[in-house]
Amino acid sequence: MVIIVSLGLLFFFNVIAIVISGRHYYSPQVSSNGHSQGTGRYFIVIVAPFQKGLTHTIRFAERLWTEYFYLVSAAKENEELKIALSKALEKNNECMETELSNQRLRTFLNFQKTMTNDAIAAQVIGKDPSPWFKSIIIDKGFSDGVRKGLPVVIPEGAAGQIIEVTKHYSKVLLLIDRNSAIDSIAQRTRARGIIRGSSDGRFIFQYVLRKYEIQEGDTVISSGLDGIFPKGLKVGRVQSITQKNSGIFQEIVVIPSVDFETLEEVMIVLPHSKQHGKGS
Amino acid sequence: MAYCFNTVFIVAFLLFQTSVAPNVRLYYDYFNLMNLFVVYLVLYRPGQEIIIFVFLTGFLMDSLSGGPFGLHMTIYVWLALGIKWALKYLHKGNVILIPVIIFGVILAENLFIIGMMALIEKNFSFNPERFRSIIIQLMCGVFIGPFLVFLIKDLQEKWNILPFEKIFKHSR
Repeated sequence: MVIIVSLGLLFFFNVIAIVISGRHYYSPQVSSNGHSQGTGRYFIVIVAPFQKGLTHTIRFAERLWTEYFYLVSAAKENEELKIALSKALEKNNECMETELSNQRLRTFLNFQKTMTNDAIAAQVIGKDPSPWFKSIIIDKGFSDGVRKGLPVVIPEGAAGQIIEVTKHYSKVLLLIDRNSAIDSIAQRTRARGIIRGSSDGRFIFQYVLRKYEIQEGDTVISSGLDGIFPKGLKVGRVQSITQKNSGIFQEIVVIPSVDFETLEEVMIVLPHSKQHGKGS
Repeated sequence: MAYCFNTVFIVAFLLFQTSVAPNVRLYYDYFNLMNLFVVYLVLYRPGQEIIIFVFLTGFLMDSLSGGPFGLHMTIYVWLALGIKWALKYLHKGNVILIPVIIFGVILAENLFIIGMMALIEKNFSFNPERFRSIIIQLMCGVFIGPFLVFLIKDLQEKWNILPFEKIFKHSR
């Protein structure tokens, strides 16, 4: 009887300890030097080089396969790409014109260009060993200027946030993890809400007021109001909207613009201070 | 030498799970291979080794996972205690035992994580899609798990036969 009670008490305190650890882990607090304080970072230093080696080997083998054995289809694809490139060049010229006029208008209205930060590229070398959590290990650490809390993006949109940093490696919590959140707006209606990860690989767009008429297919972008992600990053596309009879918010499911299963390279957006530091 | 084998095996399992499997896309809703290692430890290894390596396995998982630190360590310790307790009432040599234990371990791990998430997250809601994932994990665990546990046991026995001590003596 005493043993059972002791075990029960031990289990209770154990659960309490994890709840406290969990709340602390996802909190945005950063130490004075910008490094994370978790005990787990020591093991990342040991395992990450092996992960890097394995990942490089597998990708090398993949490249060998695609580049050598698929040369025939590559030649055909090359022709198609040349045509696509010529079209893209035309489009690029149009875009340059648009950007120039945009710049003039921004200056005229005294706006700041939203994306002015520096960014560094990193390679994904490992993924989360647990199917319940969505994180990745990348090959850049605080020696490269990476700090806890920095946003991670790819050309398709926002990808995640740095949660653990070692000298040469970092852990990134992906946006599809249940513990991730990003302040977002619907591009068409400017309706604001919070995008949260869910366990099925989609996002939930929370706290969007019912008065906004969101439609399926609407694009959702980062608002920049969370102080982490720059404004205007693509987050996803609205898949479904549910309006219950009661309540002031609507329930919106969003398909991520980033394919998190095939992430290979990512960009870490550095803070403004780094950029100014470099300049000076 | 057993300690060396266990360490190498844990790291190999972790590297497979984090770097090899996601790249070659062998399986999507995979179950956690570390559960099998815990089952193997409790079934076939002596007490001191179980304590050290159950903690080490949990620590390594927590280091690489995006979950709260200590979650996997807690799960493995309680699972090891649970299996040890269950073994008092079960016959160790029974063929059915290992699939049953693996089924219980995977189920308990998932339930524990769901419970912890419910405590940690403010607006926790269980997604029915997760049922599919848990069922796949259970099926994989029950059908593949026992073979992997026997494979680890077999490799451990072969490792023990290797003349490490002689090699070390000669090198000196």
